[in-house]
Amino acid sequence: MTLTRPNETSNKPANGVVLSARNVTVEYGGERPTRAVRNVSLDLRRGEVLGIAGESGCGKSTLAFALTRLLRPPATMIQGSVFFHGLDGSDPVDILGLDAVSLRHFRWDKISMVFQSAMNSLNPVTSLRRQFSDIFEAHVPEMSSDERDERSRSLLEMVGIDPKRLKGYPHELSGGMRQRVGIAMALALNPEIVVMDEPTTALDVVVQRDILDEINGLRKELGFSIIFITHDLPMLVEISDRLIVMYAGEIVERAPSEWVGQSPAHPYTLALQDSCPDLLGERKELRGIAGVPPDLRERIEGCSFRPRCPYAFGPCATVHPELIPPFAVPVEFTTVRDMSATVSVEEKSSLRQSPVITPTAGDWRVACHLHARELNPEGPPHELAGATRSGSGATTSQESGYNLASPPGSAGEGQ
Amino acid sequence: MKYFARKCGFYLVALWGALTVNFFIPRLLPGNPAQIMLGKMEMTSTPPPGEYKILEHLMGVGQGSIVSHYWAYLVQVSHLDFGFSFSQGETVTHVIYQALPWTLALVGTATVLSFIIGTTLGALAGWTRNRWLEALVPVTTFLTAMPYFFVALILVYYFGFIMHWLPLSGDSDPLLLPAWNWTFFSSALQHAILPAATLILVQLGGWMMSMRNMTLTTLSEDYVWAAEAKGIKSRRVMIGYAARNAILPSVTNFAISIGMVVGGSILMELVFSYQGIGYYLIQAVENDDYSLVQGIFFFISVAVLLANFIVDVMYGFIDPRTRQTQ
Amino acid sequence: MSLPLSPAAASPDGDASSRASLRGWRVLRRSPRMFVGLCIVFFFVLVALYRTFFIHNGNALSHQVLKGPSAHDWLGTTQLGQNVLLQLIASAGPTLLVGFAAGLLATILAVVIGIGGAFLGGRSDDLLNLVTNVVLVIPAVPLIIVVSGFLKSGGIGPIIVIIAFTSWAGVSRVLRGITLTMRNRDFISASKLSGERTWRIIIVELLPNTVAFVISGFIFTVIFAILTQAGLAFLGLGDVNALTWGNMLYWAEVDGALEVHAWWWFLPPGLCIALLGTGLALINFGLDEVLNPRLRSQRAFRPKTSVFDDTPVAEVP
Ligand SMILES: Nc1ncnc2c1ncn2[C@@H]1O[C@H](COP(=O)(O)OP(=O)(O)OP(=O)(O)O)[C@@H](O)[C@H]1O
Ligand code: SF4
Ligand SMILES: [Mg+2]
Repeated sequence: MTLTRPNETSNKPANGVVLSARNVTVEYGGERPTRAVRNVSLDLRRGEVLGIAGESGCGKSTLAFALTRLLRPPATMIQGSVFFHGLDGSDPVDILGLDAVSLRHFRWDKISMVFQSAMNSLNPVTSLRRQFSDIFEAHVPEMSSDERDERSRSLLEMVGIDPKRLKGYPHELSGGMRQRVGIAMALALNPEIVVMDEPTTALDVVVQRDILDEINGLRKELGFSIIFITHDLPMLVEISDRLIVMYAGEIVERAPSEWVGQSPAHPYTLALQDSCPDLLGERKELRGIAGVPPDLRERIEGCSFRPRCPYAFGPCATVHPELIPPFAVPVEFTTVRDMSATVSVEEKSSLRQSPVITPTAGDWRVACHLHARELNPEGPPHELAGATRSGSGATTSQESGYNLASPPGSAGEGQ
Repeated sequence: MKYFARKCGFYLVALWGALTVNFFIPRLLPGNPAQIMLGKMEMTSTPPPGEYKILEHLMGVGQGSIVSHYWAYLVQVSHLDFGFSFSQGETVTHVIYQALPWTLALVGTATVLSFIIGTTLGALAGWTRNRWLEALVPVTTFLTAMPYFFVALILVYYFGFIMHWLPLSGDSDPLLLPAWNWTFFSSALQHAILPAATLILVQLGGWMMSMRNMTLTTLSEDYVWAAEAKGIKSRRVMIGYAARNAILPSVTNFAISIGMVVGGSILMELVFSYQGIGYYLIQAVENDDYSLVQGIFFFISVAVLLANFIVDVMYGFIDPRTRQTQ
Repeated sequence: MSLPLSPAAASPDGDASSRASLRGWRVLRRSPRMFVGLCIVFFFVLVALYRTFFIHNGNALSHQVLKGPSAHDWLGTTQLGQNVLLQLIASAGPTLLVGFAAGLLATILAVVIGIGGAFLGGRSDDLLNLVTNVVLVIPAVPLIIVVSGFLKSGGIGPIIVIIAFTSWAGVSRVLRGITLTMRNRDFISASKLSGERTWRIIIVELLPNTVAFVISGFIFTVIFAILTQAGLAFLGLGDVNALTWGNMLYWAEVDGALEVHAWWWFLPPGLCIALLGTGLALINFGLDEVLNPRLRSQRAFRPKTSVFDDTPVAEVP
């Protein structure tokens, strides 16, 4: 087995990365702080659509705000770094280190955002024209008022809204139209990254389809990168290049979308996939995921998914599993569909699919304890997960930060 | 346009309501108020001919049913003729014509000033969470909880009896005749300072607190935060996004508070002997000058309704949502 | 005073938790303003009770005429040798009585008309809403002055009724708005579906959830009633011989306290009114803060340049 250390563990991101985040941890303050994002690292590659999926409340929006430095009190990022690598080849921008003025100039110009609540993110009492102008006045002061209007009109047209609407007010628009206006505003300054937080969730399927096509077309035309957030995994599989599955503030799986679509590696991903209707209309039997996500104010021992996991066994309660590189586990072992303990070994091997997609550097899969057992039924579970330098679980693994999982037999090699 | 029409309709109904209340007020009186009034008038002067008929219409007495009384009353009021005021020795309309402008100018100016100052302070307090501004809250609350006339008493006592600074009473120098010249104007201004200060001081806290709270609420609205995300300059976010939205409830309150301030200014005028409409209303109540009371109540109601109407129409302009949805 | 509730408190996301969060001491811990307010009001209630049991004639005359404050008469005496402190204490009860009685009556009207109307909906709501808005714009204080001037009856009973009937509309409007938002909430619709009777839904489901707003409206009317009563008394309308803070001011004015520089005579009653009003208003601010968490202090998070928390984080080595 050749081991390549995935890029997202090193502090130097691979070429072609626009945004790289390391060890981001966010807490909502209070008597008992909610740790909504836990030690998340990711790279966004230039021109790609990176999807983030997960149930409501798993911290998707919080992560997006952390990446764009938009956290509002009581949220604070208690750990982590976010760097932006501009197209102009200049030094990486330390987003968290920007002073107030540079931050103001940086915002929207380089990274813009389509907000989850399009309804509430437009100023209700001023015209769209005024709101577009505000953006241009702040960033391109030399633009004349006519030029601003001209540009605003063409932006509206681009997202399929009658430019005459420019004089109108937000309340005169339908939900879908507001969402489109939100997208138009996000593209106003030709940013390199657009973060889209559930831009289509509140809309009906047809409009949703339209907007998704719109977004895809614009991306091809303008060449920005997208972080696309939604709880609809099948949709994400379809539209994104790579995707991240989050659970309880953590990344539980990260891989090329097709890969996740075909063979989900983590029990949670599987459950999520089964609980969503297919965007193409092919309705599966819908099963909500039984149980509720853990309380993020509590310290979580072992695997956060354990109470809801049909595969849970011994070590899950105490040992915190961590992400590992894909090559650490043969691909055919990573899919979780056939790992039920009740299926015999012979059945399993007949069920196993051979890998269709070849993983590339930077793709990670999960190191759920299940895989450890599959690989080495006799050995101690943490051998594979490598998460446990001590048996006492949670404390170490949570606070040790972003730790490279050491695949079996590689403990010394990787250093 | 529809909004405008609806508001017109509402204020016509409200006016009708005020008129009806005004019609029923004299019915609280024992006996025949028209007769009593005429008797009082005859003691001091000769009532103008036809005065008794007018009184009958206004007080709703005499021959006929209550419906015919009501009709006669409405007709009488539509002529804006409220008869003769024996206590002032002039027609009611004339008394009001002389007094109302003083009150309107005073209450109007003071209320607008207080609104502007209070709202600005409140917006700053909410935006900056400034400690000094926050510390002002208990002080202004205390002022706001004082009756207008009591603040007036203190000001009169301090500036008049202790400092001997400002003229104490009246609305202008009694020796000066009203004229559009500087002497008269400055005298009127001097006399208005303390009354205006009273009105401003008492109202300030309310405007400040309400704007502070609304600013804090608005600051956590998504559109303010989205504006920040867009890299829009702080000043523009504060004014165009936060304050612009936060002020809306204050404007609604402004309309309603006009009635309250007019009420408060009545007693205050008494303390300053500021001869506005409130001063005459009290005189009229004390002298049982029923027709003057009725006339003044009518005009105060109309003035307050009108002010409300203007503010409502303005609101329609600053909040585009009202013009559309309903 | 301005208005019953700051409109902020009426924000729909605030009231969901109002029932739970109004319980017990946690509220006081969260809002020092409310605590101070409650202390002030409680103090005056104690004073009022004290006079009921211990002071028989607050107006007793003496030969100590127009004496300034001294060790013997802490707040001095009036023109007629009455002890100002004694008068002050004796006036607390009637003043509070007018305030609370008028406030209670007005609140009942507001609840019935505002919540009832909004819950019934349809024509009756339209009508009640129209009446409410009309009453709201007709200037209350002039009307009160005129009516009580004409009634000429002594005693505080009629005054309580007049004040209540002219001051319910503002609170009613706030309550109507809240009920309308809440009416569409799931739990109310559910009980409607399950065929519970209207009045039962109102009492069991709706009232508990609007209780904070009702209390806030009540407090607002109490302040209004106390101020208005003081004004009427100052005009000499109503029973001038009753002991209220307003009447004390009336006599001070009439007997020329200002001219003789007897500040100890007219300052205390006015300050008492203002202090009581402040106490009540502070309770309302506290309620606002409980209902609308955004109003609570978050100074610690607030940088100067931005609305939002921008504090860069500690880097992980
Ligand atoms: N202002 C806040 N104060 C305290 N906790 C918060 C706050 N906002 C969010 N949280 C908590 O943080 C966690 C993550 O919230 P977040 O909004 O990021 O979820 P999400 O994945 O975007 O969900 P959704 O799909 O519903 O948008 C949740 O558990 C939530 O309870
Ligand atoms: S670690 Fe255990 S509990 Fe967690 S997902 Fe894997 S099998 Fe389930
Ligand atoms: Mg979200």
